[in-house]
Amino acid sequence: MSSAESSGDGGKWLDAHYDPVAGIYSFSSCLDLADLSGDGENRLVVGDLGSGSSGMKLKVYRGTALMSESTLLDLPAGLVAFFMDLHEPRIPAVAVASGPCIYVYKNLRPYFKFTLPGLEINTLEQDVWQQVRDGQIDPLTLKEMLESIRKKADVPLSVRSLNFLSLELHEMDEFVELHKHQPIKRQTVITCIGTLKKNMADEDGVSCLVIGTESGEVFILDPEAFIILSKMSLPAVPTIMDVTGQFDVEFRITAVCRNGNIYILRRESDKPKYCIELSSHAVGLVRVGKNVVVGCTDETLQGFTQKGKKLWKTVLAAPITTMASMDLPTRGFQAVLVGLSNCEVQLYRDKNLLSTIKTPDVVTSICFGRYGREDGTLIVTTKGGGLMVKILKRTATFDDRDSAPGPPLAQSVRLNVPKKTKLYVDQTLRERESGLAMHRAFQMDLSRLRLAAAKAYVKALESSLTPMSASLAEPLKMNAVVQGLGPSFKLTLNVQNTAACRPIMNLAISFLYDESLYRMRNPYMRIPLLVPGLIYPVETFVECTSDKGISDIIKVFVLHEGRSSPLLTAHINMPVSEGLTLN
Amino acid sequence: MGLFDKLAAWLGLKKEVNVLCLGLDNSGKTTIINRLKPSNAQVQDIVPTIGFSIEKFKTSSLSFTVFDMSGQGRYRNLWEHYYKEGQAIIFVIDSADKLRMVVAKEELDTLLNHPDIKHRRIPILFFANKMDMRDALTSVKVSQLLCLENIKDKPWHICATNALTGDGLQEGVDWLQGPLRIHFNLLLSYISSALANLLLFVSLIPNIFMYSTVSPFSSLHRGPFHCRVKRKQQQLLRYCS
Repeated sequence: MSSAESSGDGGKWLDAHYDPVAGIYSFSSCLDLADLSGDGENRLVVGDLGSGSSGMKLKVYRGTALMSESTLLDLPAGLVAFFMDLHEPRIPAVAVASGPCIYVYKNLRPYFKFTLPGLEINTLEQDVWQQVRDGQIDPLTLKEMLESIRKKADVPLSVRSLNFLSLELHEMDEFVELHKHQPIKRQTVITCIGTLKKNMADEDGVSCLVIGTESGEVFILDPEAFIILSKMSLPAVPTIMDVTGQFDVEFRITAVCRNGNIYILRRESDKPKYCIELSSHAVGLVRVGKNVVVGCTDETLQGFTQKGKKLWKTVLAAPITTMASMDLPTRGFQAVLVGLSNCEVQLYRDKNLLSTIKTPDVVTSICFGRYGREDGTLIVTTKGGGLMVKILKRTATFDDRDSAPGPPLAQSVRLNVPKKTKLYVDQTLRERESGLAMHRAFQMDLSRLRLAAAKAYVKALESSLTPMSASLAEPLKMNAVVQGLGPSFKLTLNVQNTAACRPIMNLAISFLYDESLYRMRNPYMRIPLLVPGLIYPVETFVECTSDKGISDIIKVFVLHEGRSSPLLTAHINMPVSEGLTLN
Repeated sequence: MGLFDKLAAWLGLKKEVNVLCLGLDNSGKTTIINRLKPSNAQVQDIVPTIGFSIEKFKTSSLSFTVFDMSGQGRYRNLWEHYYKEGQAIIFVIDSADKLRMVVAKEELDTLLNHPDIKHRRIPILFFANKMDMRDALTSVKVSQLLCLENIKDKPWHICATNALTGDGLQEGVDWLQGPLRIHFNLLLSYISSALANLLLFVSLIPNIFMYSTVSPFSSLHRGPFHCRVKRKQQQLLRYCS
């Protein structure tokens, strides 16, 4: 038993038990927790798939030890514990669905076997086998006839005929001799099983069994007489089912089907009421309150309302292996446990990741509930057959968004959007009616604006109003720095020749300014030869003669001797002379 | 001890101790307390405790008031409100419940780290209960799983018990009396040492004046206490002269 912190779940879970070689090969649908002996201690019931062809077992765990083990005849498709009667002491029965049958165990002893009714048989097929029995046709003819029936018939062939068609020539005679006297049967197979309270919502109320079959049908069975109370049909084969409500009042069956859709059945109709079309196949389905959370093969988790409206979608780090619900009614806590193929079990409340549990192996099944005497117990089985039991700490709390990166909380705060005014509505109408004209007018204005901008740019370039020289012969750059508080300022002009290797000669600087405001020591200066790359600081002093606290622009021109148009122009925004105001 | 007991009786101090009985649900706390009560006060049917119940019983030297706390998850947050009053803790563990040993450890750690408990030398008695069960762990194994060896600053003791028959309970209660009496007597010894000092001082005053009249062999039939007094007198005299 290692410390809880090592598993990286923030110390929320206690590691109660881990047996890496428990030899449990099962899925979440074949796991259940129930008080099988009525002593207040819940046992873990597992329908073990064994190796897939042999070693199928019904295992019962109590605490850390295997309490009982009995062999199952066929692969379990689902397992549920349910109360079938009102007898005291209240001990639930265990129903194991395998093949076309449901095996009901009471006190861990076989109690009842229910077989689904057979399906309609192809009459042509029946006739053909009748002829074989009468000795009218030989196995080869039989094969030909069955093949032609298989190709065109609406009703599929029985398992016996299909088996026969797969045989080699020398095996046929034997097979026909062995089977020809038995009548043909066509059986469906149970794909999923669930429970539905009959008329009481109590924890220990009598429950009906709900069965989904390979023939795309859903049956509801009476728990005492094992008769079919209700039969509903789906457009595809259900694989995962969630049942809620009470049979006599109102119920809702949410079935994930093999065609990638989710169908929602209700009490009043035998056809699906709503349909959710998923973008990819579902791996798990969990009900949280009134919503369902679906895990898909495209590594997403999606939330839907019970009417099939999509609420949210979140992308996971790895493919989902299994899902289970985590329900703690005493703390009012409901969340979804998601087993991922990167050896993690993540806990989601809506789309928010609350906590992550690291496991030593890939999780194949998850079950959460009361185990032993502890309410918040998480049972996990792994791909390698391991069994892990974790107990939620009494003091553990789950905060929303404690580890989930995502949009800030403020984003989901509703804005107080004002009501639509008449003006707004009129505008919208106008936009809808004359959208084309408005777009054209806008494009026209945009073009005009661009033209005006281009014209101004060209003008600036032509009259060298920019601090960067545009002429290729004298590539110059200048910037100006004003220092001082006033009334005397120091003006530094940094002139740089940006040409690659040609020096520039015969340049001069001249200033244009308001003579009533400023006085300049030397308003005309000659610039020495400019070596390419170096920055030449040219300094002069400006004195502000006004005491009114106003400032103006001083224009600086860089001129070439013998030419009237400037090479460069800079506008210096002079600061307000603070020295005068201080005096 | 007899002297202190008499002194306590003379001072009118009854050795009543408050004991908290803690542990997970279904570990056998109520059954154990029921067993410790006199046989005529025992009840037959034990039901899960709701909240807590107060039970009293006496041993040869102590009078116990036990707060039998409910162990159910939803009542466990009540425990900490009684830590202040408790002078000892009985922690009951279901030795047959291997799965929930971690839960017991978690609750014990929470208890030991509580500010009302952490810095007190409060004795803790562990009962590894349900020893009669077939798959019960031994008391050594239980103490290993609960990491009891890490409790360094508190006296503790673990007993294997069977509350149905009462096996091991008396051993635990006998142990509990030891630290509790020491704890209790520590208080008494403070009082008595203060008294002794007062007596010494009073006895010194006449001795100073009686110095010349003390016979040389008077210390022979006096105990070491008087020898110390004698030495004190000499020191005093030296000081005076």
